[in-house]
Amino acid sequence: MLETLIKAWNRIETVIIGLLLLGALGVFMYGSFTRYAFPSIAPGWAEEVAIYCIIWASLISGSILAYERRHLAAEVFIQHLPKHLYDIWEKAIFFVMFFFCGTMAYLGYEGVLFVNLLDERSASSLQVPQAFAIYLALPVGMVLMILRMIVMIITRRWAVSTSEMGSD
Amino acid sequence: MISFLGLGGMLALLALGIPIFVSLGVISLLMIAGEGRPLIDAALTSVGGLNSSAFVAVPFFVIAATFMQKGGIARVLIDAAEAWVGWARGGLALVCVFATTVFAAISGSSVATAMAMGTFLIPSMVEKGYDRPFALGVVGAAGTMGVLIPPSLAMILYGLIVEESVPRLFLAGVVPGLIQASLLSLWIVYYARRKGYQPGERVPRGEFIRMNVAALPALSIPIVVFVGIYGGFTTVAEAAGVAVIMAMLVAVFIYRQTKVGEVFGVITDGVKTASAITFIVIFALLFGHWITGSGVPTAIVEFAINQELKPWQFLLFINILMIVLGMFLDAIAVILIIVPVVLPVVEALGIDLIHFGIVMVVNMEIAFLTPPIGLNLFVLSSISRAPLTEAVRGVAPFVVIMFGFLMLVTYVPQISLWLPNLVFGN
Repeated sequence: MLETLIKAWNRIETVIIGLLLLGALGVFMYGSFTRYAFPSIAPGWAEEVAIYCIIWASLISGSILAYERRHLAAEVFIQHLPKHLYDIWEKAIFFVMFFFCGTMAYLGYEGVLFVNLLDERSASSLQVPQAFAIYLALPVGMVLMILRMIVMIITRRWAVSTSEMGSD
Repeated sequence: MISFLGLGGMLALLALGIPIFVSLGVISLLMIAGEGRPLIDAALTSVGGLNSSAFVAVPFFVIAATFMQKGGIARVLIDAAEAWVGWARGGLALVCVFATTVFAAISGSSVATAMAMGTFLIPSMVEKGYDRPFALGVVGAAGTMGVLIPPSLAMILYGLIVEESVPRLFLAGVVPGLIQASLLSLWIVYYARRKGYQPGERVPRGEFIRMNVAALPALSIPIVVFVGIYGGFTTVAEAAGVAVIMAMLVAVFIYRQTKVGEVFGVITDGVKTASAITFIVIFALLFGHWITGSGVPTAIVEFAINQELKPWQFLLFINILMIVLGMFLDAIAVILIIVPVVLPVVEALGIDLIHFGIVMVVNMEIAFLTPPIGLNLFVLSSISRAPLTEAVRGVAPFVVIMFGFLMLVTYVPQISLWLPNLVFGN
């Protein structure tokens, strides 16, 4: 049951980041093309929307990267630890990351409230509230990572060392 | 003093294997909180820094590189290069340098370049009787040109941090890239003669034309990107978008090595790869926010002035620091950590930021080849199933050449600045 849920979660996140990227590419290229070919109908918001899509795609991907342990790290020194110490240290790193993501989720959320209070909006005709278009991506991305890490604890995936782990 | 302890603490966290983005973030937050500065402002600065059109180019170029790697583009470029230089002594190794130079002008990533080229060329070179360590060294060293020859991800990220013109940085990489290719070729010719490798056969005229025509769609990608940027038709980000579309079309419809059904998977894979970099960029921006207000750069500038440090001494120090850090840390992370710290000194000493950017990128190339964390070494070892030590042995002479090349680029700024100054003026 849980495995099916995780697979569905992986699939949904993958589809979302793919669609966001395709959306970014489509909007961006449409904006560029019309700016040269048909300046009168060129939207002034194309680049801005593409940036939003890419920021969201990047931060949502953080969750999959955490699950697949693909966040970049320098493991050169800890690789030389004895196996049992290495495993303990990997778990310690896991918890550092967990609490850091929690802190960033909280700060990001407070930041969203603050920017929303200022009613900061984009300069284009869309006048998009920046709190939701940009800054909300940070707490959402962090919360998704936290949820992933909770699932990893439940399924004991967190106890599997990086070297033994494949991406599924 | 406490700020320098913070810097040391961050290096310690990195060495302890904590993910790079977490190490950067934890120390930055702790230090900002310790200085009594608002943390919410810091969080906003980090993610708000991505709101830049230059940032759009990062995932686009990564995805374009992923298509090129999986789309049969490496194969046709190798064939075309073989038609030109495959007949020479050590011809296949020269083919690697030639094809990689062109591939690098499409891909922007060192790892993608080494992987795409190595998959075909290492087995072919071994089959033709080349020493395997030599074959590994050629592919590894040539692969590093992916970050030097434009378009280059590293240059986009550097431009984002120092707020410099990315097109200018791209142009600054062209001449050094060609010099590096020439140096590698000279070593290959010398080594092939010494080892008595047999020359290949010349390709018949008809075959020569066919191989070159087949490579035209692949070659058209960098041409369109360059004409777009330097003809004033597109921004760097737009050129990156065009590169994605062209690479996708070429891979799916012309070389047919990627199926339509695989396109979405290639895109999401590219997004994930780019995202791993983006997470570091986000927290490097936070780190930059802390370091700028911490007084560390000011203290370093004062130290440099008090010691009457000359630009050449500073550059030598930076090169040594980068090489040491590059041995243990991811090359992109090293640039993102070091640049905000030393930027005020670079400016105070009157060092051109474009020139400094190229020095950083060449250091990064060396970091890709130096153990224990040389990414290209892992790529070489994994695609050839050779032990890592063999890959290290293979790249060793090339690392020596790269050190010489680094000195050349560091102390002859004209190598980097001549072309951008010619095109854009001073």
